[in-house]
Amino acid sequence: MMSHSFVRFAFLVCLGATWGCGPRVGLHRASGPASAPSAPSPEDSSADCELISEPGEPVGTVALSERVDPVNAPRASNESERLVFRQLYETLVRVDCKGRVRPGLAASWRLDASGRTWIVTMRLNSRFSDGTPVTAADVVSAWTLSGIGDELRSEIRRFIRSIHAVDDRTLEITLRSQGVDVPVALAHSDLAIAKRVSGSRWPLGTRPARVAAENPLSVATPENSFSVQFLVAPGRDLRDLLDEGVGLLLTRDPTAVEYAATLPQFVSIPLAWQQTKVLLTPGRARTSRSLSAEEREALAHDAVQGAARGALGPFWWQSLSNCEVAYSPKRDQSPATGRIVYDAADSAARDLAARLVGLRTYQSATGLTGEALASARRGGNDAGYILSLDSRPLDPCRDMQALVDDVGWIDPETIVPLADTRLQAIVRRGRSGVIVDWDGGLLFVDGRDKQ
Amino acid sequence: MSLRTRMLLAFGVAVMIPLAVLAFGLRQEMIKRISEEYQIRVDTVVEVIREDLQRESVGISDRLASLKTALVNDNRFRLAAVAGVESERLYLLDYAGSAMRLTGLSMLQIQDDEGRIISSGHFRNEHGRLEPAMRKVLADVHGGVALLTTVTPEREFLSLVRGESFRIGDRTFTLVGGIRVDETFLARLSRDRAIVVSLRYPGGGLSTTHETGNADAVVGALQVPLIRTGTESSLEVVDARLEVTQPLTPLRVLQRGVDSWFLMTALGTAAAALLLALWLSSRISGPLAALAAKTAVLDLDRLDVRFDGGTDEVGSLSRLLNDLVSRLRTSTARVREAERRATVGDLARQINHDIKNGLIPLRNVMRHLEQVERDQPTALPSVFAERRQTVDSSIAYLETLVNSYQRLSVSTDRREFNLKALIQDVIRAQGHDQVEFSMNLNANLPPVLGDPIAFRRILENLITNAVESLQSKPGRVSVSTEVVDRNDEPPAIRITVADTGRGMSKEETDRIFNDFYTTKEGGTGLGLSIVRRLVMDLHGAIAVESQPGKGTRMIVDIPTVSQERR
Repeated sequence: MMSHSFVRFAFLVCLGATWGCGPRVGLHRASGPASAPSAPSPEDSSADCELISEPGEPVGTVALSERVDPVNAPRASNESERLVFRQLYETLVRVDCKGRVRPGLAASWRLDASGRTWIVTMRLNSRFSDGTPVTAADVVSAWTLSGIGDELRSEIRRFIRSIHAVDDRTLEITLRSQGVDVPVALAHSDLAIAKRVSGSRWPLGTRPARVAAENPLSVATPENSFSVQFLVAPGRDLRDLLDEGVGLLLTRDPTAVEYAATLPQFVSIPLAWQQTKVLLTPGRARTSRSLSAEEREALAHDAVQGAARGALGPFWWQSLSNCEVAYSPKRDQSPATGRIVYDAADSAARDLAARLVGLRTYQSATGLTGEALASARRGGNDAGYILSLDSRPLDPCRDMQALVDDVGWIDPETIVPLADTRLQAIVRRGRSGVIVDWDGGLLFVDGRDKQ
Repeated sequence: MSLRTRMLLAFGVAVMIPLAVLAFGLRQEMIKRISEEYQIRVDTVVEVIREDLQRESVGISDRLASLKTALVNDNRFRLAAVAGVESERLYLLDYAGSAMRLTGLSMLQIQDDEGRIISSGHFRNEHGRLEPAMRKVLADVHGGVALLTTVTPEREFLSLVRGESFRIGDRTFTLVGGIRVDETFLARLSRDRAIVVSLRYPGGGLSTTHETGNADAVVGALQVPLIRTGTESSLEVVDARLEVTQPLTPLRVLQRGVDSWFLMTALGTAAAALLLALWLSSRISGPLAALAAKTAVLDLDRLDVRFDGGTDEVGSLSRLLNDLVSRLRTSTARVREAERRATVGDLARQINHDIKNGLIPLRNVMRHLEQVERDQPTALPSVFAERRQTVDSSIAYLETLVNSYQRLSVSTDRREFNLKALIQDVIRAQGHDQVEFSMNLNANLPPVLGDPIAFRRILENLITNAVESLQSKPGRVSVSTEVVDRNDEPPAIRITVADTGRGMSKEETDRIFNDFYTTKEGGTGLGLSIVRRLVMDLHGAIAVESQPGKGTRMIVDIPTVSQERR
């Protein structure tokens, strides 16, 4: 049986510089996403998006395995920041785990007569965490460059074409991508509203909770109806954190998951398949053979240590016909190195790269971070790159544009999906009050916040 | 080449050459001994490394044997590897990693009977790769141990590996395990930071130092087989060379130290030899130079020189020279006496001749007058009147002769006098319209001891000669005085009488001090001869510088009077 698995992997050898190993496999076209975000209906509720449906005590302590830097707020650079920032900052709308669009800072929205601009009305009496009212001008200010009129920030421009404050509560927002009947793109965490104030490292958010203490980091509402303490311990053995009595731990570490399974006081809950690891190969031909679902499953199972499965289509990047994405001109190039490059902080990407090297598809694998990784990707001089893409982007056009901005030479039709990965939430039994959004973000709520 | 130079060279040869030979010999002996010691040391380290590698090999073998036992007894491994139970697949894939860490190995593969890697510790995801030749290659290499280029996703590294096979059921599995061979491993082998251990193999190498290649070193080596993974599944065995190098840098440092000390010693010795040679040469050549200087002033007119010396060879030479000078003085006196006598004889003959010349007309006149008195007495007055001019002329001639010869006599009156006033008197007595006289007289001339009359005669002669050299044409005569220093002697007063007259040739100047040599019509040839004698009587010296058509300079140096002599 094992031999059969190895035979399956022989196909992977064809992934690298060797093209045309077999007949072209037709690309999956995105069918209408059954789980795509949809407009809210009066009977919609987020109750079915709770991480633990049973009643229980609030999660008091959360273990974080990565650093949390308020400089990045409200745009998270890792899972730990995403978890913390989600408790402080909110977007105009949010999409729950079922893909239903929910009010956020915005109470309602409608298209204007032209059908291109959204008229968004903000929640009545919305306030920043310091008690000051949130106005439409604050939203405009959060999205524009300070001191340069109404020029949108670069990360905002990928979603938004224009924004104008009509009055204190009303905004006119023109999105770059259209085609849905709800402004789903506004739920992207990059569009969270925050206001920087002097004297505080943490920007003010519009959720009731705010940073109550920095060491240890804790988030609480002013009246203390809700409070979560974050145990930020990068580099520590996650099993130690479990032993220290944390209420919640998000991880991909199979050892920690395996250990938690032996502890009766914890329950492991897999979150949605949130990321898809893909292979990008500069110069790859569109006619080149890709991996079958069986091969992807074998690859994910054997190579990735942690929760992984073969990448499951349809893949959003294969159905972007309605997107206005500015692709770079295609270029002929042969790689200057025989290595495959991956994000050193991404263990699943490292496992996949190692497997491809083990199969002699590539000569070596190199893990890079930060600007070195971005530079390598931009240059496209390596034989291959393992990238992590959002499996269920709120705005695929925006995600593709971001990808094109980062990897100019990319051709969506040559992206080779490899494996899906997801996080495991290890939750202490008897804890409750955590709901999951579409993007996998967790929001701690007390009874009053439940919608 | 001077005596001093010769002595310096002699000292250099006598001191520096033996010193250089000594230094060279010591240096060579030192290099030889230390190089031999280094070679022994390197050879010893090579042997120790050989034993270390053997010990490491045994250690690897022991660990693989333990693993083998564990695997044979591991049911989950059996299920996964033999029965192919899918649920145990991840256990199998992760097994080598766990086992590798537990046993302290750096690389570990488990291969099945086809040579397929079913679990890898150092590279988990290389499972499935075929290396069918590995078992045989490992079995064939000497001692069953070899270096292996071990691949990980990020890089390659070298391992010292062994193989161990075992059977489960009808399947044969092979464990390939080893320890990492890197700079740290080599440093552990070297034991001594001064010794460099390098691993060289075709296309690469490792070393405990970052320095590339050191030709100046003592080297020992041992061969180790290296298995390299080629393309696809092929394996290649090449010879790797484990080199133990003892750089000769410490020896070179020692050499430089010795060289520096030798250089400093040589410089010190050279300086000492130089000073010694200078001192000795000055001790030897100084008295000789003094003798030479005193000898240089020796002259027939200057034989009052006294050579001083101690009891050494120079003293003996001085005494010999003193004896020589004494004999020379005696001989000179004799010669002078003979010369004087000869001169007196010549003078007598000249006087005889001159007087005869003066007397002959008188005798003829007298004979004529006697003849007239005898034959024509009356005509005597008229004849006398007629011949009186001849008589007067002869008498005048004889008077002149008397005056001239009177001037040849030497005065012995010696006293101090004012030379400057004397010169001014002599110049004032000159009365020539066409001659321009000038004086440049030192106002602070020391006193002169001598006969002022003789000095006047010297000056009158020289100034008269200068005026006469103008030959009645307009011209200039100048007289100057100055004080000149002389080595080891009292200073002298230099009197220079210069004219712008006709000048003289070299032949003329060579003879002008000879008696009776004259270039003037009607001259006696005694003037400058007398001047010379008078100058000698004053212990002075006279010299002449002349150019035909331009003039003449007569230079007279008269010694001044020292306090003691005064």
